[in-house]
Amino acid sequence: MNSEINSLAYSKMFLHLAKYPELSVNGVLLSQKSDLILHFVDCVPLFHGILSLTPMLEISLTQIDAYCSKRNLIISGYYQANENLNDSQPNLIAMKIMEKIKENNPDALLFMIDNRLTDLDENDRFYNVLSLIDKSWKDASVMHTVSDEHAHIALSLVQRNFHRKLVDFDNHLDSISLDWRNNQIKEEIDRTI
Amino acid sequence: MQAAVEKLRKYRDENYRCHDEVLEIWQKHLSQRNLSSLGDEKWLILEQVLKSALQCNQLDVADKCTEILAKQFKQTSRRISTLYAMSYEARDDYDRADKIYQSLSQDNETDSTVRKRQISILKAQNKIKDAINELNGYLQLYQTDVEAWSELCELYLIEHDYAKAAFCAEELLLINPHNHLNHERYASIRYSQGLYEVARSYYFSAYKINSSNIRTLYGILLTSMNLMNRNLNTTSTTSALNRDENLEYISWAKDKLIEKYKEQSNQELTSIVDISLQNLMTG
Repeated sequence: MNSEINSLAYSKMFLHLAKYPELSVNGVLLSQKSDLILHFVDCVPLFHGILSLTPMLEISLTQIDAYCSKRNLIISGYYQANENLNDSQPNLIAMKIMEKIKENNPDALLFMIDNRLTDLDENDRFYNVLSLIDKSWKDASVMHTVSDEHAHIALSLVQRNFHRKLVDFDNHLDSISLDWRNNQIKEEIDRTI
Repeated sequence: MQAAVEKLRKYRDENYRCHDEVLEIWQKHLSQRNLSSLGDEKWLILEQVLKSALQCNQLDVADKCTEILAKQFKQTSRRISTLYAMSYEARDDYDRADKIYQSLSQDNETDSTVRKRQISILKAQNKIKDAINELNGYLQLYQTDVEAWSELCELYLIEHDYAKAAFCAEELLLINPHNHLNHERYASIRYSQGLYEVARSYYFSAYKINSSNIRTLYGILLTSMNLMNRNLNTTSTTSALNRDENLEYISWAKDKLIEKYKEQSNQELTSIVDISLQNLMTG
């Protein structure tokens, strides 16, 4: 299935990596429900560090579901960066979470962060898009469109230290006054475009 | 300049992970200054900046720091040698780094830092099983090293070996029984194994130590819900009792959660949480 991503979803995912460069991180990507192609319009950063514990993952997904149904959105992607710099292969955790997401949305795609691509002066995307075909994960990056300006927007946010302001679900659980919807980043992007 | 020095000192003392900020402070406020007025703290700052630079892959900054430090201290300094080795690690030159560590540990077998660096080289090469073996060996010598138990716990979790991860979490509980995070971590591992009863009692003990830990309330709610659903199909009187008890825990945790969100969070998010909890309860 063809997919495209907006600058908000793209940038939040990138800021999450920039905030925790030494750790594994993950999160989900949201798209509009009725689209014929998957159009990713938002992203919710979830955890950093240990990804294989399930209780808070379950809590995060139910909250994101509640948020989605208010806005006619659906979880249709999952991203993960492994801790090891050279490892961009989906592991058991990624498979299990994808399995869960696919129960609700069979079209969902897996985004594996590829650290060799994170220099956005050189590359227009920092991840590979994988899709499950005949029980195996195939690279579907060619069917994924990234607009030229996304890299520029994401880089300029990092230069202005917005990664330090990004809130993932772990941060939210540490202090619930921090909002995992990250409205301040959306406002900043809307202002600059 | 004083403010910058104090900030760096705070980060050092409290072991903050904010390497890009350390570098920023260094480049903005300190790198062009003469730091000799700081006395010996100058060397601590240089070491701190060097390590942060390695984390952020700013190898030229790191090399400058090493150069100044090596001039001040003799080449025989173990601390300087370790920093050299770490620079090799950052360049993926694990052989040269390991050679330095090997010679350091030959001179002094009790240097725990060197052994830990050797284990981290294995981890950097994604040799998780080897790292686990070495770390287990290390922990036989240093049984109360909290950092090492915690690392071993994480390595087991990467391997999805929840039982062995739980063992490490138990060690951490024994070493430090008053830290709520140890209780919470142990509970979360047990939950991931499907051992909801044990998980719940440790979420409760974590909550008792620190009632502002929000994960514990979510944990109590989830464990109770799982325990209730598990007993749903049996109709004995004990399971009816069980059901009432679980319901009580669930509604208690839910009320506490909503109360805390109303106090500390914004209205919209509170309403999202409220809906999600109701969805969770209606399955």
